[in-house]
Amino acid sequence: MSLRKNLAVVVAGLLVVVVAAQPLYVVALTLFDYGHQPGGAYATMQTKDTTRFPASDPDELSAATARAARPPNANVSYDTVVRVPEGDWRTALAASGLRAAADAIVLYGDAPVPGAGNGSSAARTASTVELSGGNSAAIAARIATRGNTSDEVSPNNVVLVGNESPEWALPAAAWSAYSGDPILYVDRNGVPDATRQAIAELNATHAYVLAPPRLVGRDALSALDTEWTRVAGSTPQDHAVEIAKFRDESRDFGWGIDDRDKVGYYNTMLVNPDRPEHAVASTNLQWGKAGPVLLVHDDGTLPAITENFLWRTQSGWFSTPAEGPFNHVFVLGSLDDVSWVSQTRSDYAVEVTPYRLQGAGMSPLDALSAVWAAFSLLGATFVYTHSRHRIPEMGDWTKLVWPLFTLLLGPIGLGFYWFAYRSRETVERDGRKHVVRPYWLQAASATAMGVGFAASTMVAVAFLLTYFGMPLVVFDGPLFALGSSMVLTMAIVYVVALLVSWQVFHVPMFEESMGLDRGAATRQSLLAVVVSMTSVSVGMMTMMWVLMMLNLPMMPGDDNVLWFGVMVFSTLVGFLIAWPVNGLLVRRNVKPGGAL
Amino acid sequence: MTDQSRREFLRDLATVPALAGLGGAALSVDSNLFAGGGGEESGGPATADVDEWTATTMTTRLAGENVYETAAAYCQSVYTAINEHTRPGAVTLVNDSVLEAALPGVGMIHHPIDGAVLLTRQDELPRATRDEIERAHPEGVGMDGNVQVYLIGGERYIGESVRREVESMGMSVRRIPGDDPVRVAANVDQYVSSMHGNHEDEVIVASLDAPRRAVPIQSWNAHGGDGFLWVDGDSIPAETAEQLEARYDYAYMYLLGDEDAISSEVSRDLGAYGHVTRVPDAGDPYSISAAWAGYKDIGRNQGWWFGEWARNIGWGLADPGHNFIFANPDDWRTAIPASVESHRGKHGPMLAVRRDELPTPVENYLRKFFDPTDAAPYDRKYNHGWIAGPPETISRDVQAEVHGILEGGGPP
Repeated sequence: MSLRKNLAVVVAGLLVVVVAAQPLYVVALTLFDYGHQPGGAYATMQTKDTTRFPASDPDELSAATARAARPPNANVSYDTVVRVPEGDWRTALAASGLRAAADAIVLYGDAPVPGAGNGSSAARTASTVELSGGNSAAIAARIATRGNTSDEVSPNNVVLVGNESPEWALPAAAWSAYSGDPILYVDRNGVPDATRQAIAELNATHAYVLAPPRLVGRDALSALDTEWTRVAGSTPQDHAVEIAKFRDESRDFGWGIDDRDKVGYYNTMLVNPDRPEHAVASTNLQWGKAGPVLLVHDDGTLPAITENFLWRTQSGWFSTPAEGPFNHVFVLGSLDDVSWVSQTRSDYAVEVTPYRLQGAGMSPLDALSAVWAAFSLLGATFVYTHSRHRIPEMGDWTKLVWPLFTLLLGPIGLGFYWFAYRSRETVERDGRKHVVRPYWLQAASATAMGVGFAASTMVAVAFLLTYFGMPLVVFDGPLFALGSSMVLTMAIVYVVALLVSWQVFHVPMFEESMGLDRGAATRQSLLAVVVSMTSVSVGMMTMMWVLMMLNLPMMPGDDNVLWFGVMVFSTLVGFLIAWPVNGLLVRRNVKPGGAL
Repeated sequence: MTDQSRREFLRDLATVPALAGLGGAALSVDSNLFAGGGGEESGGPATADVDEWTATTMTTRLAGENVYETAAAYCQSVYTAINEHTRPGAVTLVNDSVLEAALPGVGMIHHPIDGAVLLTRQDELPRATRDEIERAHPEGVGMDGNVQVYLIGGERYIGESVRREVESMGMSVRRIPGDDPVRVAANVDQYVSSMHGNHEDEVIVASLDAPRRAVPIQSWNAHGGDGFLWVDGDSIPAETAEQLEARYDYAYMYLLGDEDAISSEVSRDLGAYGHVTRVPDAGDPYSISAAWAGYKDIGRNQGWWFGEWARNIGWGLADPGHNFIFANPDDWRTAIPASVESHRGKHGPMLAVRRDELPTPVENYLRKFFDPTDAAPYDRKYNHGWIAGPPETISRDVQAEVHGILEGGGPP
């Protein structure tokens, strides 16, 4: 092989390196850039879409949430103060329903009521209920039937949870506190009498069992005198998500927060499953900003199931991000209970995002780009290997063209490769083999040659400029736009791609494949490259401008796979425009259309 | 298949994936993706002060020990900087003593820069600002050579010593020059327009005779990225005229002041560059902030047979389910960096309040439109408010009142 051909092979290899780098970089970001807590001094631990109450002690935390919901002097009052014991999660959890049923704030131990110091009117007029530990089923039943106002009109639901393993029971706190549906306890082996009596006294016609079968078995539930529905997940974290999703419209039960609804304002409470007291403290927030409890792992890290739920319920804006809806996450406990990375990843997940399929996380447009990128890589791999082993008589240059072409145009590139060679006759003319192709395919093959070399160089240069920063020059006067980063980038991309495509690829290719001397090859290939590449560029750069600057609400950067999507879509448009132009070049014998 | 041809086949099969993997790996190494978290770093969010008024369900107070820390708090709330996606593009430094020179810098918050505004002294980079640049570690603005820190104004506003210190932190810096506020605003406008290859036709025109009225309104540009220029009360400076002239076709100008602040002669003369509108209730920062939050101007900006763009300026909020930045224009150094909350997260307008009072126009606006209503079973249109600065800037009573209004009395 000649020196120039070696150079062309090396450059083609580099083009593959750079063009394929972007989607793989995004994969690497996804896998290895999960997030870590930056050090340094902080002035706040509140973020744009999360609020943290950073107390771990139940007294302090319940005081903080009660105050946050009903701050003194805010003209918000409450009727009841419920004091729950710290060492007995069952009693405390059962008190959740009083939040709604008795318009209560729920406090642990001696936690101060909001505005205690300045004698706010709410603090003075509220009555106090002190709960102490004991038989959990009996206490829950007593709380449930306290001041029972069964009206025979609204559906009387009860919430049943197991009296073991608080991490499975605590998501019930949020719903009970929001709706007032009382929490009652069930044993592993049966329904305690107290629970049964409470159901009868409440005239409850339906029980929602928020526990998995291994905590509350089917046999145990057979003793119930009422209909029941089980809602449960496979882990405590999944369980919390299932409860957040569940909705029984007929009986007005459950949050029903799922991805179907893009217009709801959703709040969630992020709680450590080891801290049932934190779930109880979060019930105070149900007055004001209501929402289900979600769980992190015991060590404070964010489970995939929880994060995925936040992504699924992310809201999207139509015409301006100011329109909402806005989701909010309350984080309960210290940085050890729920880590900073859990809080900030949640913050990132729930931020309102452009409805039109962009923004944080993987949007449908991103997914399309990613699938295309996978097709591109696998397709290029296939074409490279297939051409070398199944069509060994193919020319060295076309063996470079088709993988590069497929690398950009993915399934479409693969399709044209197939058409260009599958069941095609070859004839020998002037001592060279040619493939017999219909005219449209000759034009397409000639275009592929231009796109394969020129467009891949353009995409590679554009990526390097995006990654290392595009140039920008500030001019005054009417020609200021010439200094804009996109214009300069396009100019650099055009010039570099023209030179590379011409000097590195087309001159030696024309010398070899058309039997021309250096001078003639240089002249004839310049014409071919300028005409072909300009027509590709017209389509490509127009699309890049339209998509990047006008159409997409946010310009995708090097860390977004949509960047690759924009590039391949632009290349596709460039290909379509250059196709008829290359048809002319083939007809005038400037470019070969039957190159083997 | 012989052994040799099998070897060749496998080699060819691996070629493209190997080259691709090489590229991806090179970028990942270049971006330190494999370096991990680098172990425990000192400090962290646990160092933040929390008191019982830091957060209510309806409000979040963002404040530090001094104005520099308070500006850093806004930046921390928006750019958590735990990974590539949560870092700002750049941080914009503005002078801490001349409002008129600092305010145009708010226009740099919007995309494609995507960053926060922090404060600096003319001759010294405050400790809190330096720490925050390090924590946020801007990823660089791709549309301008990966610039990480902007300096707004000439050396009169931010000295070379500050530039050298920022550069010594390994940051790539660009200065937007200008030796007077008019020039600074014009240069910011020209710089942002160069990025877009286009001047935004909608321009907010503020008066050097009444700069505080522009404080709450300029947060719109953190959200919307339109133009911002200064006029004198009774004349149009040449630099401002030049920028208006540079608009393609018409400029659409929104005046932040009544006749006392921007004379009717100036208003008439501005008409030479396009359409002039006085923003209503422009007599003081409080009334204009409420008016602007409800204001929306739509209609023709540009249109050809293949496309059309509306003017689309102003928040136009008049239903519950929105968010507001409550800021005190008397303490503008805590107010203008809070504009970043208009840009990301909950995207709301800035409402001007006094230290001890929710001004009547603001209160009326909130009470009239933002009483939260149930949208569906178990769904309400929730509001939220940012309290910008410490209780010395906005008192706890004002925060409590705001909470009560935004809460709307709670569910039955």
